Amino acid sequence: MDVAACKPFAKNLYYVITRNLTRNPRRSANVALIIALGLAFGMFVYVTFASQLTTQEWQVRASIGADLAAFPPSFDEGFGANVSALPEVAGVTPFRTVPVPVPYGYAAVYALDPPTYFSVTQPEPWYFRGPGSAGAKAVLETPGKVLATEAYLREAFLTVGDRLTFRVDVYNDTGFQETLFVNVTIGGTVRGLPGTGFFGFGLPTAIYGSLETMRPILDSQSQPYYGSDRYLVDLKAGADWRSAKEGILALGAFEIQVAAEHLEALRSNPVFRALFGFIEMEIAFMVVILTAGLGLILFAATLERDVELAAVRARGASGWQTAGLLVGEAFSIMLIGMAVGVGLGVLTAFLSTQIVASGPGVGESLVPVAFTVPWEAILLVALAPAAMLLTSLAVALRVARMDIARVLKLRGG
Amino acid sequence: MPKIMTKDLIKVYRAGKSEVIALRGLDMQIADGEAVAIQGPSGCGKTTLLNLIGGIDRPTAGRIEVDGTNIVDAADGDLVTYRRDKVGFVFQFFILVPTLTAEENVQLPMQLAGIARERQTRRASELLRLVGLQTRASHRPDELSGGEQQRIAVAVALANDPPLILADEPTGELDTKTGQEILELFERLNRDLRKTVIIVTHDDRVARIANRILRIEDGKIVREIPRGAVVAADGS
Repeated sequence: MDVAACKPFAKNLYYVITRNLTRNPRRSANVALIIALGLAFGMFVYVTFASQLTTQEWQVRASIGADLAAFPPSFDEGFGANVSALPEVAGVTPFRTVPVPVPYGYAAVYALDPPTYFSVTQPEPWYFRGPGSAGAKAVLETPGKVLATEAYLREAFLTVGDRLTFRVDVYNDTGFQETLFVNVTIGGTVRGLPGTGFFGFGLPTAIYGSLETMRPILDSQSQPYYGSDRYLVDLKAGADWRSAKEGILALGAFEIQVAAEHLEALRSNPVFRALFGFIEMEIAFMVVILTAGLGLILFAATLERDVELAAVRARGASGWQTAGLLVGEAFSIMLIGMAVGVGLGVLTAFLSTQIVASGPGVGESLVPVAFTVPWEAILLVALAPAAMLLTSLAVALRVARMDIARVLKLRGG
Repeated sequence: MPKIMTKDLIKVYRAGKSEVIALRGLDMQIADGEAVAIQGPSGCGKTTLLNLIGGIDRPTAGRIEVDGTNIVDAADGDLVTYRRDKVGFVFQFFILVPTLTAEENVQLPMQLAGIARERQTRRASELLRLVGLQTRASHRPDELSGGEQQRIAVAVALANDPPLILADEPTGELDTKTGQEILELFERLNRDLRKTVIIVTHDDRVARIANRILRIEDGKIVREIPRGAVVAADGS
């Protein structure tokens, strides 16, 4: 790696660099260690922090289900269509809580429209096992089939393929009218689905069916329970959620949950803001270390080698050849430090997220702890060589323009 | 035509407001294939003269002609080529690259000149044999004695086969016996390889190998002692 990295700078003198690095590793190891520690710390902070933010975002979206959830006014059949017509809205899907007791244990029952539900909520892969999103959608699109969460199946000692019978007492204005039996088959299992309001520790116990499968139960109700009916809304990319919220409120919605608003509220917390500011300061400090600090170290290193470099120049090396040697050497050291630092930083960040996710006393959650490498971290990795190159170039320029005679201390005359 | 000629050579060092005049209009001629020793008290301008002839410093005024070309007016790039191809430096403190082996140190000037690898290896081997260190080719400078390091430095100076060898106190860091061996090496370079050799030294034994001794005081040549007179005065 060293040889390939320093060749563009040192050209045919690259072997001088490789000999320097391999035969005097202590000198380069000091610089590489500083780079490695700086980058490891930066990567660790960036990755763990970004992972926390992603987890928080997943939790909010798991609870709300989409960019926005709107609870419609009573008896407004055209609410969904009116929301769809708003300019900020990309898609709308109805999501209803079905008021029915579940046999063999407790579970909430939801009815949804499979094609629009999956396009609006775009559930992450961790909601599913086995066949995934497409498989879950196919089950829901099959009349008479439902999805059950793993937690419910475990609790009720059921398995995929078992039949469930929902029993609903139907009332009219004069009182009890009849008992309705709706038979469904458990066609598949999921860990959960977005929009159920569940995101904390543990796994949800729920059953999901299509509006068509649940239609007999829904039609048996004279009117939906208060708050049981809602619409999940997908906003267009770059759309302003505030104007979308205003538009939906103007349509008569009595409650709106906005994922971006929740996240904004969470992140305007003074403790969170203080932590974020601290991290930014740390990163700024690290950039200073990577540039000015390393510049000083390189400067000191070249002072130590001034006589050697001056002798090389006296023996026929041009200023640029000598500068190329230094820049090539600095670049090689930086690559070694970067490989170690980035590896170490990402590894420790990964281990720390794993410990948070599955450490002692932590049960399984619907929303996993994310492991995200943010663009800032990638930018840091990309900028580190650039910063190091600029710094080493500045140092190398001094060597390129050195007063050879003075440096060689030929003061006998 | 002389190999090297200096005319009205002046070098003034400036440090802040103070000025030190190292050379005061020095005139000198050295013929091709000559071995010349430059002697004088400390601070008289010996090393300054060597640096100017070697192209690692520029004079304040005057001319330095090497093979009829005034190197004072040469561009920086031309001076690099001049140092690489025409001059071989030998320093008092050897100054080898510590992480390179003896062979690699000898190859470095050839590498700078872009000479093919095979030729470098062959030439380095020849030169190490010339200085009697062919068995130490794979040793690094810190594994060699002072005398051995200086012999490697001589081989480095000869790498690109320059016609001119400039040595600044080459025996200054060596014991008497080793110093004598190095001087004999310079004598062989001059006699057998027809190199023009200029040695700045306080060592009076250099007189035995030099064709002439130039005595410098206060930035000027004050005396020139030809070989015959040197040998007679020395009594050997």
